[in-house]
Amino acid sequence: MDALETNNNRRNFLKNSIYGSIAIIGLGEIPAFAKQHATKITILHTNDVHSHIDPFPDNDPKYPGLGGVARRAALIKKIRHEEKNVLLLDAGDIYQGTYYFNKYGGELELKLMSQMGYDASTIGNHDFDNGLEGIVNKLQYANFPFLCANYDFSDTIMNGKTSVYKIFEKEGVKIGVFGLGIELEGLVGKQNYGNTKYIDPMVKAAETAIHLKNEKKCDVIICLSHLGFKYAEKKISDVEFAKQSRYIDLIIGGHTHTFLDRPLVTKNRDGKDICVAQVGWAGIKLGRIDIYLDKNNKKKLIEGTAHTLTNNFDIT
Amino acid sequence: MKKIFILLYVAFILYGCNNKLQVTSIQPSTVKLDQSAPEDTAIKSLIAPYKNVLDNEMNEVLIVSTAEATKGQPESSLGNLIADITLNESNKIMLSKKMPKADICMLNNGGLRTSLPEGNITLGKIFELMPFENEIVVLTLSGSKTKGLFKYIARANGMPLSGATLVIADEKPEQIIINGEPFDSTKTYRVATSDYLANGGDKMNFFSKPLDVSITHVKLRDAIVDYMRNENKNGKTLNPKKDGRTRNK
Repeated sequence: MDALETNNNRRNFLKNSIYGSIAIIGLGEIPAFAKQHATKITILHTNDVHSHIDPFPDNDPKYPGLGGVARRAALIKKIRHEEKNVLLLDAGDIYQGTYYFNKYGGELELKLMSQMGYDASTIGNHDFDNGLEGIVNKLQYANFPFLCANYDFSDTIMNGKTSVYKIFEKEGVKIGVFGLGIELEGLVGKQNYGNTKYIDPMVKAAETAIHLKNEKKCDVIICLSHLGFKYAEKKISDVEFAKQSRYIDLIIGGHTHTFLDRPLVTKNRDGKDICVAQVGWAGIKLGRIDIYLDKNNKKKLIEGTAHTLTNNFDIT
Repeated sequence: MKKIFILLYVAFILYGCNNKLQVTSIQPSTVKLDQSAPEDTAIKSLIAPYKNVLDNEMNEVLIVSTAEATKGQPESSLGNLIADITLNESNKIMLSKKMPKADICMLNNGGLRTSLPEGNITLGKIFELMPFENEIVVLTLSGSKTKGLFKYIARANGMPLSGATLVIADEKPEQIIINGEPFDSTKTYRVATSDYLANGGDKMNFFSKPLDVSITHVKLRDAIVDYMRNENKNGKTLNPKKDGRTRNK
């Protein structure tokens, strides 16, 4: 082995080992030493709960006895006891799926989410199922904001009832959360969404992420997306969105009812890692993502992803 | 060698001086909520008054099913069952309104929101299956639009269908039989479906600008519930099954 080759191997090894241990999104085990000097943010998430307040009955062919809000609430409470910095988020389609919605129009769903301490949700296509009035009339039962960057409600009764984003601070860590909704035409009856304007989610996501990163100085940026995980046809999905995105660390997705065994980690347009999560539907699972943020690193070292780190090591 | 880099890494953590926070690691996990999970009592008591009202209504047993009915493609026991019921009920409505019967019924897989168990089928289950407020409509389509419908079904590898059989080859309709007769492109056909699909849902463009629209003002769910109650009253059971009506060559 000549010197040059050794050097190359060494670099490759460096790249790999660094990637494994301190890659921005390390899905493997995080070394204990990395955790010690880090601030931990615990993100809990659901999507497409579809009014599934009670567990599935024991004779359900697919999900016997699974789910249920009372269990989810108990679990969330337990995690809140164990963890200091918890954010509880939902990616839309809260409504429609059981008689609770048909009978009460979403009142109980929102009361329960409020009591569980949800921090924010986005709006799914089925949340329009009782029309814009159906949404507005029940908002009084929610003590958390609905976030959506790409529905323009200004010409509707929803005007001013949603926000583009919300910033949460946990132990000095600024977490910017924003929402994205799916194209309504062909999916939701026109009479139900009225004059809501759908704006290209990629344009709004780019705008919002830059704003949260540069103006608001967010340390972590999370998107609640109801675009859907992935499509065979040419249609914007979370996987596609992740690749086109910048500055976003995590997409919490919904719509396609995708049960991911583990969140997908892919590269954004800057070659940095981004995580795409989704936990099926009906509240069968509660997603959990622990984010570790390091306070002590030189910006130069950590600014980028593993690629930047590799460059730094190369310089060294 | 690995040790060196871990040491370097630790060194960077310990001696770095910039206070800017950076994401260093994201660790995900999901928790499955099953029977072993405890329940929150405050949440339970918030649910209770709502649930009591519902349970009384929703526990009504509409009918007994001899088998479970699940979704699937190209055909499925659930898709066949619901399309058959919808066609049956549509034609009852058409008869009562003195309108021409529907030849076929086509629905969408996405509209069937849960499976049906073997045994008791409750009203609550039908609300889960069909939570939407969609109504039945019967459209008269030209031969070419009807062909479009079967092309769509073939491309999608099957949709809930009744009144017709379809053989799919290479995602195209190879053989279409409607009411026992081969498809005839010079004829018009009456199709029962939901107003959601008729109005552009799921991009079923062949439903746009039909030759005629018969609006029923009957919800799909109500039609299904009525059918089940009636069959039960007549001492019948549900027998969901696949019968090869939609198949790949």
